Amino acid sequence: MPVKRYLPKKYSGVIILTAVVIITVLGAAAYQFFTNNQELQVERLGKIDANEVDPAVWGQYYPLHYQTYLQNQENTEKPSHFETKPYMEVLYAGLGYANEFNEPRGHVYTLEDIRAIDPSRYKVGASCNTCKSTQIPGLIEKYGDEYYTMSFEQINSQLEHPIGCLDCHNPETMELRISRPALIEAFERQGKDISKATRQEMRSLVCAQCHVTYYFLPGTKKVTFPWDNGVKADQILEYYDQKDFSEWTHPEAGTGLVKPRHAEYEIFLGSTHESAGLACADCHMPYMKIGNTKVSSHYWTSPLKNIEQSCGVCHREGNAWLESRVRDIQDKTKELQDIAGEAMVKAVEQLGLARQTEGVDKELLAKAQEMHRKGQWYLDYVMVTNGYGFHNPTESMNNLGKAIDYAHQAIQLAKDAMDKAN
Amino acid sequence: MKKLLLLSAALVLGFSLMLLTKHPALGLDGAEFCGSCHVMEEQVESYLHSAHRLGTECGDCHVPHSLVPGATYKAYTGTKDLIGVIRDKDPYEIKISPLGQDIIQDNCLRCHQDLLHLVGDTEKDGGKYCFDCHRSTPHLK
Repeated sequence: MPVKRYLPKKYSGVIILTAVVIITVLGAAAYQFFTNNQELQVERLGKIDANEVDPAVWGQYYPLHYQTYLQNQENTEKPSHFETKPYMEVLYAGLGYANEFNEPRGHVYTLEDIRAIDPSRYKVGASCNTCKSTQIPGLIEKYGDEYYTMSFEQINSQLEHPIGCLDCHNPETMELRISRPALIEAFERQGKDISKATRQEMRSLVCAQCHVTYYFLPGTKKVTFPWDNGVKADQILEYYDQKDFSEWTHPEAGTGLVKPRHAEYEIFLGSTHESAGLACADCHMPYMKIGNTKVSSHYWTSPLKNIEQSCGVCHREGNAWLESRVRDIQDKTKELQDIAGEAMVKAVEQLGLARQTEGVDKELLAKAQEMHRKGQWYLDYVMVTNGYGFHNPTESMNNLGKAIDYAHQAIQLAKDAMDKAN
Repeated sequence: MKKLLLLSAALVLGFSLMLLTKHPALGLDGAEFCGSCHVMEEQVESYLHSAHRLGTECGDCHVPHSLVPGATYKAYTGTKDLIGVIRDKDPYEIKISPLGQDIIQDNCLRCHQDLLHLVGDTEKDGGKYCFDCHRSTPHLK
């Protein structure tokens, strides 16, 4: 009995042959496709060493980017913060900041400026060098956790190069990379994996290695980001309160205080521009035409210096109008910040008086100091964050509003404590 | 008769599959897909630095918006580019084709027509394309 075939036998040969031909053709086409679809080859003179710390060496391979990097030298001014914010001196009493605190003048001056500053500013030790040089990741690798407990000079004397290419780039692929452990660890503690960050997130995260608030972990002096509860001002204060942590005690007010630092990344999150999908690099590293090509500028400065290239990509209203909008936000933030600063100085003075009053009500005094701690935190968070509020206007104003209220509460409670003195 | 039925079924199936290329879930309009041919790297890079990246994908400008012409053009241009790479004949300098120019112009107007309500199509009666002046929107060239 013949076997019942699905296809007549005479066709099976043809079908098999056709299948073989189709598979061969498709295979050959796929092979050709993948062989020909190569990454664009750029002629290179050589290879940048995996740990090349000297920006000038990178500059030989990327002359246009390096040219914009060297422009950072144009930022020569470093006026004292106290000229425009005299209240800072009173509020920082007891800290090195009260002795000298200048406006920053850019990445290529990091080493020069830290060596010139009042030595009380780096008494914590080696940790103060962490964001000053391309050589730091290598040194942290070399010394391990011991790095953080070494003396300032032990590390600083080894440094030759300021912030540069290696801090943010992988020398082989030029992809963005995170070189500072503190950011990676802060992500881990929040249950997030920084290696999963998208390209657009990385265009902010490389900045967030340094442009964030941090503290030195008591004991180990390790640079640590206080982000376990979140990155916003109230969440960070809550973190410090939970740990019962104070960085220093104000000598006049007797308040245990915490110190925010340039929280540009934190305040930018949730802002209008961040919500619209922008990263730090979109405004601070605009695409610039140099000759017949475009490179992202490595001159990190106020985008107001290149409004056309930074803001103009999206906003078509013209330079003068755009600048007036930014200035409006910054001026109003500064105005409110000055009010908060003056109020906080009054709170410090009132607390000083209350502490000298014999038989002062201890409970009310402690409450007044608690208000001072909160108020100064919110004020300082805005005050030391670059951009005069522009990175997130609503949040900056919100924090300043809280600061003013806490300052007045502190003043009133200190007065009450004096009134109740027995 | 049976053969004719089979043939038309195959054609309908092929046509539906082609229409499917317009489905956004497949991501065949995005920079990631278009950039998978390395020859497009410069275009992808400059697009990622432009404001258009916030609201448009490659296909929003380079492929007709409506379903049938869009899918047909996509199939045609995609096949052409694929064969180009297979034959290693991709162009030294990437330039838009005449048909591609008209498609882009239509797509400029599709989104920005409000802005141009007084002017209308700038290309009519021997006029200029939008991108004749806006050379860097969104690419460099």
